[in-house]
Amino acid sequence: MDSETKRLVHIAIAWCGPVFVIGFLVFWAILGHNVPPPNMMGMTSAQLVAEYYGKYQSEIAVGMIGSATMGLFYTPWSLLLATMLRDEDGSLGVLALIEAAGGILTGWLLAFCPAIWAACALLATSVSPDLIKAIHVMTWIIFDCTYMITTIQLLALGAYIVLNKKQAIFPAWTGWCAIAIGITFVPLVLMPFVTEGPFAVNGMWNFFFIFSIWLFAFQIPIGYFMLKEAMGHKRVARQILSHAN
Amino acid sequence: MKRTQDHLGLTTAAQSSRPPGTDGVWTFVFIDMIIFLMMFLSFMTERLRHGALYAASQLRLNEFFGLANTLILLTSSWMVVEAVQAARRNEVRRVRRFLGLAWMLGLAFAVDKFVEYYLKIRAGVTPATNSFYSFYFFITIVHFFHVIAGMFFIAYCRGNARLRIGSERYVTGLENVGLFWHFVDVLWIFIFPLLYLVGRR
Amino acid sequence: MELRWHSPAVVWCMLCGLTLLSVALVEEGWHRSFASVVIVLIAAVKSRLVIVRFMEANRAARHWRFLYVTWNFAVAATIIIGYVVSVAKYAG
Repeated sequence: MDSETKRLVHIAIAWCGPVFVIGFLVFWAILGHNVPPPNMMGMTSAQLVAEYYGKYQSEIAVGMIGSATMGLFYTPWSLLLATMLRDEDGSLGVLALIEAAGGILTGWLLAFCPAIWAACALLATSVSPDLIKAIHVMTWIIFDCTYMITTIQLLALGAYIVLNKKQAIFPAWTGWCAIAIGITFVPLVLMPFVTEGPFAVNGMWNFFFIFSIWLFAFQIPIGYFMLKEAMGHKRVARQILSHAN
Repeated sequence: MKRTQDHLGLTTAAQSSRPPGTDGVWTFVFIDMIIFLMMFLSFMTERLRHGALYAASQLRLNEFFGLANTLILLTSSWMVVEAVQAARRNEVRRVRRFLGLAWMLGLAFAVDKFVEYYLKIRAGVTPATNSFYSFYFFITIVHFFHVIAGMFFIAYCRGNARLRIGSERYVTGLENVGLFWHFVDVLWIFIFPLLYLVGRR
Repeated sequence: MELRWHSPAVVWCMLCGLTLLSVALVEEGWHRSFASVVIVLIAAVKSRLVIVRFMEANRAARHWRFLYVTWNFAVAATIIIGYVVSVAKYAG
């Protein structure tokens, strides 16, 4: 592949990040009626079916199937990010590999869980509410409580940026932000055990705060610098500077 | 080494005419501060929705645990300031003494916190009890992790003092640790009134 | 020994004094809303003392002092506004 083609491929993959954010917001959050999600731990099975799956059946089904598609845009974006976390000798070190692994697993989860919720929506009126609630709750516990797959991605990315003084793609503050955001996911461990308050599935912290900062405070700045690098502006500037020196 | 006194009346070695600490740690601490600001905002928003519950739950907190921890951390911060100034003067024994005192006070904070948690849990109060206690445990445990991290950094600096005193790198490192420790103190300065005092009958 | 007003020991005394004042406002049964607002203002003063005197933010790059002092204001404002709004809500 010649360098110009490679550059175009990288730019296209860098745009997978914004596509993921917008697509997931439209399909999962809006069509899926997840702003916020129903407070499953504080609802009976009948309430969950009557007030959520039964009430918005077709929208949720379409939204979740769409989410299963859009979710996987996260993976190529994360892998492109990994290629930008190279060691001085050009190899992908362990931090880049951890970031890549986290991106692959997170992308899988963002597709896998919506597919199950789509099934819940499509079957809401034909199987017992207890079964729907059981599958719904189980899927949310998988979705939330495997947060470590994203936390390790963020911690590895942050560690690379902060510790690698010679890298020039990402400013240091983005690394510190990534580390902080990864750690804010930890209270998700409380989600299965509380029926109300900030750490419930629809709580101020465990839903609104962490999803907002992950989508906006992580994806946007990192995505911006990735796009700049993919477009080659900084690389050209570095080459010019190194020739001048 | 030329010694000067700045407008604060602090004796500083010429090498510390540079700003204290490093940009990276100022950045990290600031981002951590933003996270805690979000926690405080979340807490106040929930408090708005469940005023009576929060007021009643707050009464079950013993404010004297919080007071003791505030005084402990303020004193520990003072000890770290003295340690940093001693490091700038290359006074290794004073550095070790003040860092040792700071660390012991950190330990006192930890003991006080454990006793408070133990009494709460024994009384049946857990993070799942209600929204107020979810926040109480969450905020104080996250802060407590910061205290533990700070104690680790202080111990590391104290252990390295004899070997590395006199180098600018050591002084900068200690300034960074001080920055982090004072941040831990500042957090508790707000956490104490937020959880224990504001709105208390 | 001459005690300088800005020495760490004096700052510590001020911090401890302000802390005890905060608790006294609650324990002595001052009007709850007034005491609560004053307590947060005291916390903001204490925090600023630590930021400027202990962290030495006045010697750091200017933007750090600005950001840290602004954060101090933001936290105090968040707590005070949140409390005042809740008092108004539950009194009404």
